[in-house]
Amino acid sequence: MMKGTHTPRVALWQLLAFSLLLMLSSLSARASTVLDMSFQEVVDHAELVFEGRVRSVEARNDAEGMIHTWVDFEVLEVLKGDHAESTLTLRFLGGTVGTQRLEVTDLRLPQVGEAGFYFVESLTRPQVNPLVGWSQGHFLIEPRADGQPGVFTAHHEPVLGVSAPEQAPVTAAMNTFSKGVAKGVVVQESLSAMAASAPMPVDDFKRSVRALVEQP
Amino acid sequence: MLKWILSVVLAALSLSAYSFSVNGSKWPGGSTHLHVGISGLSASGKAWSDAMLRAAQEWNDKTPFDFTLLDSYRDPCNGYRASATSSGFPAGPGDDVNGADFNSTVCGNDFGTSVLAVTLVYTESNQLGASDITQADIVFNSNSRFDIYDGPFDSNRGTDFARVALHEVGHVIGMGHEFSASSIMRDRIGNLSTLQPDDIAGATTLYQGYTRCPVSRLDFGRVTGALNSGDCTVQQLVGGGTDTSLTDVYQLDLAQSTRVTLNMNSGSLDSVLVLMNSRSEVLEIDDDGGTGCNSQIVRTLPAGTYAVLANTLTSATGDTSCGKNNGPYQLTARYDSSALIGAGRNTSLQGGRSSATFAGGVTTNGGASFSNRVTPTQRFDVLGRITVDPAHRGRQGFLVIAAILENNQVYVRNPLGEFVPLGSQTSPVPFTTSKILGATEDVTLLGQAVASTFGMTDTSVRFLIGYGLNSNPDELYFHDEPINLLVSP
Repeated sequence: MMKGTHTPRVALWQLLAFSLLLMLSSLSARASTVLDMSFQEVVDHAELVFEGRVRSVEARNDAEGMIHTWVDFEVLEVLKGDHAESTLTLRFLGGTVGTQRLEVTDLRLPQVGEAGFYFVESLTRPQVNPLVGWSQGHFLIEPRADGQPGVFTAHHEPVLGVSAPEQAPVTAAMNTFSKGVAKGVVVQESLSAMAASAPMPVDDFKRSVRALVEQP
Repeated sequence: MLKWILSVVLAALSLSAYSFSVNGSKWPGGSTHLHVGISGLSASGKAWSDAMLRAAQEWNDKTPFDFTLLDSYRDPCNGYRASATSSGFPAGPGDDVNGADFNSTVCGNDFGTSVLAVTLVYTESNQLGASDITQADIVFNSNSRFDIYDGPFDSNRGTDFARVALHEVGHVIGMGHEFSASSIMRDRIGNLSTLQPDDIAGATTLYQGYTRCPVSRLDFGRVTGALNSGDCTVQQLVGGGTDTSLTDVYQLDLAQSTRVTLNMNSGSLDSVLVLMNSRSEVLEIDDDGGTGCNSQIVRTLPAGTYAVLANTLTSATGDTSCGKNNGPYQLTARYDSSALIGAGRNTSLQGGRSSATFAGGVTTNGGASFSNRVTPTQRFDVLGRITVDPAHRGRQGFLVIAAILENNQVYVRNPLGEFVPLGSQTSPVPFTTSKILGATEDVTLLGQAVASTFGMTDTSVRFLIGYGLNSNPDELYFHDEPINLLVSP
């Protein structure tokens, strides 16, 4: 089969099978106040999913002195939702202004120059973190060992595959805090093992997301 | 006798040595307050406030951190409010009060899907390249289902609030996450409901203070040292931040309120002095308060323990005379006092206990005031005072006086009043004076002396005084901090 000729549904099942093989991989990431979500839930709760690049980050006080951070993105491709403009600004609670910093524990701000996939929960409601499940809705595009772009978690762990292993609603079985990676996102903890399993190619990740968006 | 001298010399070399790597902001002094008065009861009838109180109290009891726990309620969003210029975003710098409560939003912001609680932590950069926490508030998501219960997670009851509170209070004090060890600060909630050894070790490390670096004792007088690659850095000392400058750490113990002058001089490096209290709170930092690139701190300090950092800059300045950020230095500690100052804790040669106290000082005005510094041409007295243990008073005994030069040569004063090399004495405890001991023994170590007549123009001498009883001539009661004479132009 030639690359790019398979349907999203086939890609999904291939990825799912691949994921199952690696599901026992241990995860290591951050977050404590955020509960685990499945990757399907992350997709479902996102009003907008886009591939983008961070153009600028600015933290400032408002008139009363509260600190928050505005992140300007260049929108490269929309995977879910409607957003016609080529740029988008998201607001995050916290940031550093001068010598003062407001830190929201576990909130990871996008950095200038980073490229990635961003799963935005709401474009209208002010949120502590506009990304679904915080780091669970934040992926980075970084070079793989072969120089080609690959997909990594917000904590720079290689993403080996994504799937929708659980469809349980987020309100049920909330017995785990998030480790910064949604259930169904298979990551590789050790960079030393990258030679054995390369991070997911960007196009494969996009196909997987689109397949989940189209899930009935 | 040699043991007596050695015990004092060696005591100044090192107190302890640690090396930890921790990151994160922390509360100055390792303490703050927390309002725990969240109103209401859980489904199981337990008060939220009790669970908050227990959570914070556990950190109090098991770690060096010190919470002042207040029963009263304080809205964690107090001081934050919707901004006129950014709808919905909280505004305001907070209220410098640490509170906790349930809320449907984080001070006006949606929690977002799957968020149980948010801890807002305000920090302020400090002068040591790290950050001080100035306020922390916990907001629990009232849209989530909580209860308070022991035992394993019960999906029918929701999340155990007590465990989440214990975890969030850990964030309040500046703890990060643990990813491998069994820990309440682990990134996954589990069946643990109490602090684990790893949590306690983490908090202890975070609030260990200046003892993260090797610590040497600082007595009044002068020490020479050097900042070299491989020495402790400020970053290591404070457990984070960006200050990678080298530092040596000294501990200064004061028995009474004392006006202290600290000088760090060098012919090559740009010296920086940092003065901390026993809880590692910075009291003062000086870069060029001395002459040229030298630093100086002059301060009246209450009795207590202090840390003195002999520090430099993170990078060389390029100044030809003192632009380096490594190299040798000289650290001097002087005092000014209206009375003799205590000479440390009492000790003895054979481990005998006593309540004797020792004091000493240098005076150039007949005892009207005391210091430890004289110029080479000043006339001065070095005086000591022993308050003899009541059990030893009225008994036949002896006094001993010794002087240790900068090259560690030891001299003792003989009955003729002459300082002679210790090696020339045959007695285990060469006495200076034999007498019936009184309640107080005033000793003139040097009387109406002029340093230049001894050939001393720039040096430091440490004196020790002690006494013993004829009934046990091998025992000597003395002090662990020498009486210093600093001669400098």
